[in-house]
Amino acid sequence: MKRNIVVLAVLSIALAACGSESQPEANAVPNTTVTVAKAKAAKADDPTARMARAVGSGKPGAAVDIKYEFQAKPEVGKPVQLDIALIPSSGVSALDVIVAGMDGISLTGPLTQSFTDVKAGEPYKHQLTVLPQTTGVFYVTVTATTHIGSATMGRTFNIPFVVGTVLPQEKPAAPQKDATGQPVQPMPATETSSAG
Amino acid sequence: MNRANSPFSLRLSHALAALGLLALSACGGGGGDGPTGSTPTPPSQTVVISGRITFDRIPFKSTGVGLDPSQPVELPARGIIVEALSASSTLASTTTDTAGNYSLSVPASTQVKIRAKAQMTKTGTAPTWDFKVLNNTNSDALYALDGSFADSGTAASTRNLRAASGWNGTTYVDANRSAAPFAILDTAYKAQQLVLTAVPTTVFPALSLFWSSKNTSSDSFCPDTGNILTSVYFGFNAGETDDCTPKQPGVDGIYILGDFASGAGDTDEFDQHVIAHEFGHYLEDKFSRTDSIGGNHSIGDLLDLRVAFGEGWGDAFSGMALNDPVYKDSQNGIAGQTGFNLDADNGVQKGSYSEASVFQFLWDVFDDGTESGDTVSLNFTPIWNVFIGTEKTTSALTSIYSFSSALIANNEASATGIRALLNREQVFGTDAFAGGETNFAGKTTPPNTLDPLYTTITLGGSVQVCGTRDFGTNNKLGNRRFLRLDLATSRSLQITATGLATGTPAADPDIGLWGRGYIARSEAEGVTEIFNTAVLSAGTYIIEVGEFSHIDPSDVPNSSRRGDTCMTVSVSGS
Repeated sequence: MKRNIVVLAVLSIALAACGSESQPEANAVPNTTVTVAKAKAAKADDPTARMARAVGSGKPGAAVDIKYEFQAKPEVGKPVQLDIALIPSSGVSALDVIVAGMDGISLTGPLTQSFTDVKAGEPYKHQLTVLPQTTGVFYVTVTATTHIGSATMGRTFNIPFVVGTVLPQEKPAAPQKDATGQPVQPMPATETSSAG
Repeated sequence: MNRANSPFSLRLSHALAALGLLALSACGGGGGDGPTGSTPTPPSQTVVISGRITFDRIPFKSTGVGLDPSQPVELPARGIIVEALSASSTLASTTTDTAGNYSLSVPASTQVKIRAKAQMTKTGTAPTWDFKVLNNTNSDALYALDGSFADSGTAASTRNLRAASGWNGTTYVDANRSAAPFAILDTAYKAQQLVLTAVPTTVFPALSLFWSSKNTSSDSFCPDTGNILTSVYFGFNAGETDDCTPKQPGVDGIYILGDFASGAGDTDEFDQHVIAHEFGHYLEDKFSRTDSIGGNHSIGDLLDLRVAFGEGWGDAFSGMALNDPVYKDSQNGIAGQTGFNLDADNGVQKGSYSEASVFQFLWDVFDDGTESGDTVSLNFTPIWNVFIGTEKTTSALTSIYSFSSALIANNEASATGIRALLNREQVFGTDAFAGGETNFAGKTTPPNTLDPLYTTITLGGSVQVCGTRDFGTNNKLGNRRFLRLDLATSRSLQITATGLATGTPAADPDIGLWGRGYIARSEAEGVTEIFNTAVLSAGTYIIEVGEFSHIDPSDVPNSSRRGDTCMTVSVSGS
């Protein structure tokens, strides 16, 4: 049977170093104007391809990338196999994986797995079955914990997928504003009071 | 009939407010009803409402891993804005003291509720600041802890507000996670206090901290939907956008995870080291300089030296701000925990390319220096002075070399001890440009060597350097090579990088130019990259060259990328 590969993606969280590298920082050289001579050709169908993408500096995380693949298009009531590959970076000695679903889907198969004596760049595979119970946008959450020396580092990945046709969500009501015009989100307090 | 609801009392309160007779107690409240001037306000017309604002912090378990929601710790919400609100206006405003106490004068016999904003603001005489916690998935609304409307009465009264964690025994109830914004702000407060120990008159640029119970890990950055990559600091430049559809201008700030996801997600509002780490990046952006290119990082990675320093700084600063060297990050909802020790050898490869080496060095400079091999105990001020001084103006790239050489220059009495700490981390370079370095992670066989980290190039000259993906791609050691160019006079340049013609994929060198910060980049496709600059003033520049397949973050298997790639770089000028 021909495999129907629906999704193959990398969720390497690409914190914006993301190749673009074209983030213009303040030019600290006085009286100097310098421009990029050329840029990588932008894809014709992506009007934003030439736009700069910012650099973000995120928290330390597990030294691991993830790839995944559904063996068929997820449909309501039909179990579908999900293959996950975790690829550790150098220095990682062991790898723990926890997989979880959410309301509207059920998972069958091992939800935890540990790998020891792992090698950098090698894929460590985890397989389970996903059964969508309704239409919607869903996530399978994968938490990877890497052991590096005496340290442990974790990273949470979300594997998103769509089941059926999902109606666009209604835009939430605008939040109330305070006297200065600042939108405010009130949160409940536990209040105790006493008269003077 | 309740007098507070009478037409008279409403009119009175409005009139008093309009006349400014309520002494809005921005000065910290307290009374405000004493006679002042020639027309004293009758004491009966205002009353004092005082109280305490607190929040529940869920601590890490004292034994085992993860957070312990059964043992919340009630803590004061310090320095935050507290307001007394009528149904239609703000009657009075103040800020809490260090114990979370406030005091407000309000009209007597008026329906009033107390609101505590997740905002710390001080204006006027330095120090000044404006830190606030906003919901990025709800139009950037400011979180506010609201009490209930009640009659202010005719005498002083007390109203205490407590922000609960929202934990119901088995999970979070998102609508009740009132403590989160105040816990986040409390960590910002601690970080701020550390900076003020060094410079008590610091003027902090405004900082927004974005948190939502929908904030989740993702591979793109669209804060409107809660997709924030991970807990992260962004300092956007003009023209930079998020990844939403359509794209929108990026908004500076610290974005913090909050999606519990039935115990499968990652929440960081109580992970103080994570928040303080990101606050460290805010400080880099606003007070110092970072040449970091960002990207994924872990303490075992062999990183681009700029990334290693930036992330090691964030790690170390978190420990300093909290006076706790054990970095902790809850995982798996709140049930799991990962981390490392700033004050211990974590067993990872050492060098200028290791964020672990950077954080251990910085921590050892900061701490009391009681362990073997650590004789340095400078505390924070000398570190901050370098951070906002030489590190900001160095003509080298920002790295442990630029930082440590300046630290030694500023603290000659501790030079031997500082040098010993560097050597313990296998950092041997003795100046900002890594002169004398001998640790290149073993990559020392010509021509594919990383020695030296900065290659000197002269106007009219050419050199050969080689990049590698041996340690990973995108932001790792050897993905980019650095060349130092000293320009004696002002001129424009043509920089050419020509890659090896053999191998697949074809070589595709790119060029970046730095001069006390990022200047520009040339990223055309092809074996030869030619970068014509505008007129550059005399000074020191860093030319960065890299093979694109070593940098490309897209889904290309490492094995399909080029191996070590050498290129000839030349510079001519006019």
